[in-house]
Amino acid sequence: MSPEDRIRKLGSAEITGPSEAEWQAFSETAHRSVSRRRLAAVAGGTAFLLIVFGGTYAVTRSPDVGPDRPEIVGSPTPTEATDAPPTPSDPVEPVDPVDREAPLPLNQWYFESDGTLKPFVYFEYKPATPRKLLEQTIAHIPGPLGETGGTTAIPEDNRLAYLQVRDGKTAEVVVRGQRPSDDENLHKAQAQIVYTLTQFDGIERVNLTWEGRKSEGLTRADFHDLLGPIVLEEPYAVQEVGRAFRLKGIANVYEATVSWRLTGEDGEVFKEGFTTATCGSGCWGTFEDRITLERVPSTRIVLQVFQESAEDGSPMDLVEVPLKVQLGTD
Amino acid sequence: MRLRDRDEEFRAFYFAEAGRLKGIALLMTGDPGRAEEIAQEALLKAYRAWPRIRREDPGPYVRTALVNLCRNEYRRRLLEKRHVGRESAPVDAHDARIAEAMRLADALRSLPPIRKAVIVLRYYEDLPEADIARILDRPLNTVKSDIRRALQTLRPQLQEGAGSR
Repeated sequence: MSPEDRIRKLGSAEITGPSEAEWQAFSETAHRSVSRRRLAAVAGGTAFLLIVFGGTYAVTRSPDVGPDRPEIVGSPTPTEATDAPPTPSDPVEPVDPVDREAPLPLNQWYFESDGTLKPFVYFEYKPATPRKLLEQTIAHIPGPLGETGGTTAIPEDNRLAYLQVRDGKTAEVVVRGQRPSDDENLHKAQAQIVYTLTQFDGIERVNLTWEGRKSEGLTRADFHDLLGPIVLEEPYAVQEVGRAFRLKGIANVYEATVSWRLTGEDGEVFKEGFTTATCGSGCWGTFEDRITLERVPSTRIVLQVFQESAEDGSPMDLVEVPLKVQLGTD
Repeated sequence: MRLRDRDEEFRAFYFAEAGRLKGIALLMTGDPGRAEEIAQEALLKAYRAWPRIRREDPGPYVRTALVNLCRNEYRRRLLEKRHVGRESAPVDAHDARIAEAMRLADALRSLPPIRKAVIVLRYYEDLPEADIARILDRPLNTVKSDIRRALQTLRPQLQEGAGSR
């Protein structure tokens, strides 16, 4: 049979159409899409009126529109009309939260050799969006700068099929492929997805559909059992820091006290301090601190984060990251 | 136009076109999962543009959108492949029709995306060359030569493979 006949035969075969449920899901997505465009059109119209009638008044951009958002790329598609109110210029399509770039650094979450869930910095800077990061995590692609060294519980041949943020807090995720067959690995794989997504502002919980089964309302707290006592999310190993940098992480430590210190190449401590996690002594909390460097003994230093032993004050659950210092920057 | 009225009108178009669009996207991408998403995305574009396109035939509009989305997908994959050197995983197709579509998609991979689109619209969709020229915004004679050249490329692969199956 010739190629054209084979393709023609395929085209003339009876095709199963979509189900009613698929139509319902489509219609829901379509309504949201139209509503977003209407909002953008109204914002565009308001901005135009402010420019025309506001003289030299400054115009505050809507957070969802404007040139500081990533450009939507792609080849031209037919011009789309909306039944939104007429506007002086075409409104910019608001960027979906899952395609919005986030400040760096960002982490992918994999398992360390001791079985704990740990952040591995994600080096592929563009585009640093929830969708991109999750796609790469599911595919176990750490970015072009190298392997993470971590292992994944997400089986091969899975891929992100759908990602949407509802009510500004809940990410709806559909993963296509085979989910882990045993409960332990399923729990671990879910943790990777939840931790990767919830590092983005505005995503607090995840509804995950995988192989047709849905797990609703997953949060970071559901997977605390997989963490070590101190998890350092920022700074990452060999990060180049300036005169000031942020310390950020999750911990379950005695009296919620997270200690830190900085050493030079010779191992001598030249600065130390502590911060308090939002919860402690049996519960998990987040911690954050800003470290300022006045002087450094060398351009290569080591940050140590730990909790002090209640018995003798010695460091416990130590996490160490080497850093490069460039004091000319902030 | 109210959304409820739009839904009522669009529903028939959706049920008539969704399956076919998925078929075109499958032949163009060779990936059933992505094909479904691309078909949905093209339908979403048509839904948004519905007040303007409903009075004309919305079929060509949605096909133009679909082909453009497939071409974007092709570029994205090319970039990903360049960066990480990974091919998408082979799909286990149980359905005979999907399996045949995957075989054809595999052969179509040897064509540039625009010729792939021309072939799929000509034979899968059975569209006249003039309609294809309009959908792809391409001169009629170019479409004719695209078809001729694409078939020349496909013939050895598909006829050789046909005997073994």
